[in-house]
Amino acid sequence: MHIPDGYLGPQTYGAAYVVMVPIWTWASRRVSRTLRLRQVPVLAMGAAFCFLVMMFNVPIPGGTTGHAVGAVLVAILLGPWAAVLAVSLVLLVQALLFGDGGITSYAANCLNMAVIMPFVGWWVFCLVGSSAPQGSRRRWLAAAAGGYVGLNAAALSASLMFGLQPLLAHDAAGRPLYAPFGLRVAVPVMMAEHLLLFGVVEAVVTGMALAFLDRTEPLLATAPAGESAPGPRGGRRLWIGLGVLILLTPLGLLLPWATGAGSAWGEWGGEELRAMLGHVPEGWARLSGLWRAPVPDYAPSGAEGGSVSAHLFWYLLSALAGSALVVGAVFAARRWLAARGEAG
Amino acid sequence: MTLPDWFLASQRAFARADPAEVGAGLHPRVRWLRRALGSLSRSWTLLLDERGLAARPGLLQAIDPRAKVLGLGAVILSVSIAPTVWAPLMACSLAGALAILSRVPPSRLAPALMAALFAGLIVLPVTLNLFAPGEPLLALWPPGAAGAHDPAVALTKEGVLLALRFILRVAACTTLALLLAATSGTARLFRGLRTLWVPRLAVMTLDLMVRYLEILLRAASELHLARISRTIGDVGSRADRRWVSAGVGALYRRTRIMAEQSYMGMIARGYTGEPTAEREGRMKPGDWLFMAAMWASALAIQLPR
Repeated sequence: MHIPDGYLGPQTYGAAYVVMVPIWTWASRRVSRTLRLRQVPVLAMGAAFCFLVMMFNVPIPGGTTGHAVGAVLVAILLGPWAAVLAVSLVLLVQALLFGDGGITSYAANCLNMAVIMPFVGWWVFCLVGSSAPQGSRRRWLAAAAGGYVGLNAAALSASLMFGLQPLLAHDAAGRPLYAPFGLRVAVPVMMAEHLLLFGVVEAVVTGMALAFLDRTEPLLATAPAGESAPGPRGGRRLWIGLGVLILLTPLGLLLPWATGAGSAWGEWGGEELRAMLGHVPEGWARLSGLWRAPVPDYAPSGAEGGSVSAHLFWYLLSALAGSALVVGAVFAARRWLAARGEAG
Repeated sequence: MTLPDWFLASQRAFARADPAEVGAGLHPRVRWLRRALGSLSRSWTLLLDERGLAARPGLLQAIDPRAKVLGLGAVILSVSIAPTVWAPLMACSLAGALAILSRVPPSRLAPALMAALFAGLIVLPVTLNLFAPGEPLLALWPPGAAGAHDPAVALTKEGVLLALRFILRVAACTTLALLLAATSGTARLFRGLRTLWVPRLAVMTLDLMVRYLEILLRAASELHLARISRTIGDVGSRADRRWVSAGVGALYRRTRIMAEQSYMGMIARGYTGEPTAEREGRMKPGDWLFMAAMWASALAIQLPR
């Protein structure tokens, strides 16, 4: 996932530096508050440890091997802000001394592997295992899930960076100047290998290394004070964020209406297909009626042709119901895992 | 400090990672461990060897790291924004000349070759008319279609140019970055980063990290060697994964203990949170001249349109 020089255009790597500079500044302030005088030795050791995790090959069934990044493990052990700095230092040493990852693309690599990966992994770990007691199976499963989701989030971000290059930087004839493959190639190729192979390796190393530390050195297996799992305040912020997102959902209806954008690409209905092609493909007509959604187009049947405000109301209600279903499913899974952990 | 030849020879023997060679006499299940050990030994040797290379006589070794960071950094930036195939070609020539004048062994620049080969593999489909239209340059299929107006499979002129530009750009930037590190020595290189407004605390942490890395790479190598010594048959990939996780955990325990010991040592020496770094002297006229030459090269790279 280390992007070398030459793959990203200046529009992308420049933007990545603009995003990363305030993140590095904030992270160093935050870490100096929590680690104080220990900051230098702990970060240096965290970075050296992260470097070594990347050098441990993990055998995978089928005869192949892969290696983990370790950013989520470092986030769990030292806190996500310390992980930002530790992984950034590792990436700098790898780019300068080992030619692994580029100088111009350094900030883009940091954004993917030092910010997105540890934070997404850390949040998943907190969501699934924040209340799990140390040494419980749920905590290890949460770490493994954090490693898997964190790595895939970073891979998705990297693939989007690659895939956007032909759009952002091309010559007068439209030929790409940097990474030549668009989103349709870059995203599936990158995500397939990470979802099926490297994500599993990351999950195994993160989960099992935490399990080992929980059993042998429980005092070392928790983040320092101030960087531990979010308490009630963190949870309240999450609920507020979710509420704001639900309130913003009507924008999904208003913006297409305001700009006359029409349906999203590939989400056409029968009438739209007929208008575009002059006929409705036979296979489409046969398969489209296989499943009737209980609330089609986010509104009950009979609400078609209603006013804009009625549509907005149903859209908002659908967002609330959908969020409640997802949150309910997560809580149910959490309770089930907790029950299994206690039984184990 | 220059490492003795007998020491480097023994480490290089360890670092040999040719599967055909390292697999001889080993159970197939142990080969991945041997490859990992080779990779760890290579990194360790490279870290230790870096100081020796930076101490050898040569053009870039005589230049102040600050001038190198600003000069070579400008060339890398210029190559990365130039839209022509000539720009990376000129930068590659410049990098080659600098490597020869600085007596950098080709093996030290091998990662740049690997990066270029990988870039070539990625960009290969773009050279074919199957994936991107263009003027046919060389017909590949059907056989005997050379000179045909519209062959089924052909290399295209536009595709080849695009691939060349892409591969050369990756090779040029990676070679220049490796030259910068190989001819500076890690400690001086990190101090040179101060010219790019990298905070002093980050430079101090980087310096400390590389020192710890030398110790921990050795520890990780010993873990692998111990595992190889104790494995005489197939233990199954599940047991292997458990061993990797336990190894990672054991290394973490060791890093935390070392961090605590370092912290106590720093406190004992009067560390108060303010990093004290050795001050770099003024840059010499030769350093300014080198920097000006690199900036001129960066501008010259932009000229062919």
